[in-house]
Amino acid sequence: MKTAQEIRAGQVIMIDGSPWKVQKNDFHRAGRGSAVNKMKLKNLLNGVATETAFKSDDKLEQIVLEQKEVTYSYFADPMYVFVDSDYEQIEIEKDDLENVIDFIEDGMEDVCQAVFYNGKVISIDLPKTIVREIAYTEPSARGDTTGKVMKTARLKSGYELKVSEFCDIGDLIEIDTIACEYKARVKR
Amino acid sequence: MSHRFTKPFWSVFCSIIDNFGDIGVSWRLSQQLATEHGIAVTLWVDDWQAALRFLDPLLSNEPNPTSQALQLQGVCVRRWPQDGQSCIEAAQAAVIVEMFGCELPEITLRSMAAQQPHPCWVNLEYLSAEDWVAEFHGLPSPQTIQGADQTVTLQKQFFLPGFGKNTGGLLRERTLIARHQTWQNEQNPLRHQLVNAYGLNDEPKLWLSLFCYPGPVLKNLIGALKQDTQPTVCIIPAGGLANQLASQLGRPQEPTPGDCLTLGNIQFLVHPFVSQPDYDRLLSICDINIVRGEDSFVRAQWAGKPMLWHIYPQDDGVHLDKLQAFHSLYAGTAKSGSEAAALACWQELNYRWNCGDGIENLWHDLRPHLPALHSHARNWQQKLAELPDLTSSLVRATGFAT
Repeated sequence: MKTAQEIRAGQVIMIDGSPWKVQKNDFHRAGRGSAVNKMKLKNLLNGVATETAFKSDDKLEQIVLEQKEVTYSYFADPMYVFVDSDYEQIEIEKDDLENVIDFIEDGMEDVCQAVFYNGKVISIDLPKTIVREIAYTEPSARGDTTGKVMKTARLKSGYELKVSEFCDIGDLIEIDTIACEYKARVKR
Repeated sequence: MSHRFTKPFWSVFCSIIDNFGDIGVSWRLSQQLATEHGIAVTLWVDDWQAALRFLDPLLSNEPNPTSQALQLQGVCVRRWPQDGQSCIEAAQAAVIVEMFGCELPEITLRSMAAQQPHPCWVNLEYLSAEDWVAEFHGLPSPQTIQGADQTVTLQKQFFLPGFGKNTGGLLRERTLIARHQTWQNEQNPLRHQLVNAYGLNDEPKLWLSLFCYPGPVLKNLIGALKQDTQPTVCIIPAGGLANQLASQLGRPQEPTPGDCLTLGNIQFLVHPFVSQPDYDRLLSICDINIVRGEDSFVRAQWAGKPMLWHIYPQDDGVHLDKLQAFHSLYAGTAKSGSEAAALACWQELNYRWNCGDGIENLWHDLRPHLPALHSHARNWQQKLAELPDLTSSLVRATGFAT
């Protein structure tokens, strides 16, 4: 058991018989030395997201789920197929890829984590930082080189995000997969 | 939460940490539930002797110190459940309110888990003006209860008091604003009663009430007040604070209610511990109320008079963030340039005072701003009064509203 304050984003806790992944855990001081935590949780069985509050010293059951390194192989409608190091195929539905589907591309080489619960794969986690190519963006108009001015760019998957003004079509960019945000342009 | 119970019986749990802040808020809530919402309430308190001292001004007879319960103004006040039977009784309420996150007895928790339907369970937290309060208010808090033969998950709800519409609001009785209006219309005769009762020679020009935590802040405040050139009266409760005052004034004996201590133009009136309604009246007729913690802080805002707030000090200094959050909210509603200037001065004084600094010059600077601060305090009172009161919001949140 861990206290609510000790739980970190990315860990999994059991609530009412279901595993919930902690996506965010905010801590606040209340009055007279007490403290409270607000957690953003995702049910790993059905994908339902919720927010909950705990006293910081509330005890929670943390569980460690089986994980396996996998890489993306191909899409066989309606299943996405990943393979592990033994070339064993792991199939997962689009609904279970909710957080990562925007970054799934043919030919991607990222080493992902397949997460299992009761022997069934329930989610795929991407590395915290991935590199993707910009499929389309408007040309730079203002010559900004600071990186503070942002514009919209589209990835090959169709996902759109804000990137620095100086980025162009064909540039490789680093993406934070937790925040789903652009981090930096990759120097070639 | 939807109400599926036929008996509107609530259990309010209060753990008295120190002083009377926790029991003060718990009593107000319980009493308002009973008198304004017709709900049968049992208020469970862990420090029975402290509860009796707090309720003493309301009691007509000396209570039996060995009693387990007393019935007062529609509220059943009981000792914290110790035995299995009273723990189970406490759990049979339709709504369980844990005040300020106090820990409920294990047997009560297991009994709550065994009930069908489970009682509504609310954690009523401390008041804060910080932004995160609105994000927390109303959030569910799943609690796993280990029963004898199975595990049950109960949904507790976080209920956070606050100053905005997305919070639980503040405790405010239906007639409170009208009572303040009446008291302030009768301010001069009410003050005159005190002048006569204490045998004061001069009619004071400035009236203060003083209820801060003991420590260096009192010394700093006295240092500022003693510079006043006009007759000032400062009403201070008997007990630790008055004892510290007497010590600092070089008085050998601890003061008792009715004593008057003089320092220059200031007369400190040592007042007996009074009931909550009498304290409201005192706040209403003073020009500046110096308050502390949570309960008197809220009541001073309902009085619509200028105030200084001594926030509950915390070792990690987090109380100063909370103080500034309130300053921003309170001063952010200034309606004129003169109010804004007055509030800037007030913020500086209140902050420095809470930091333990001397405030002689700031107090001197503040005095000309009192009319503007009074005007602002009245506007703030009216603004807060537009929001639903905490008890009504809680009743609605638990599905009891008719």
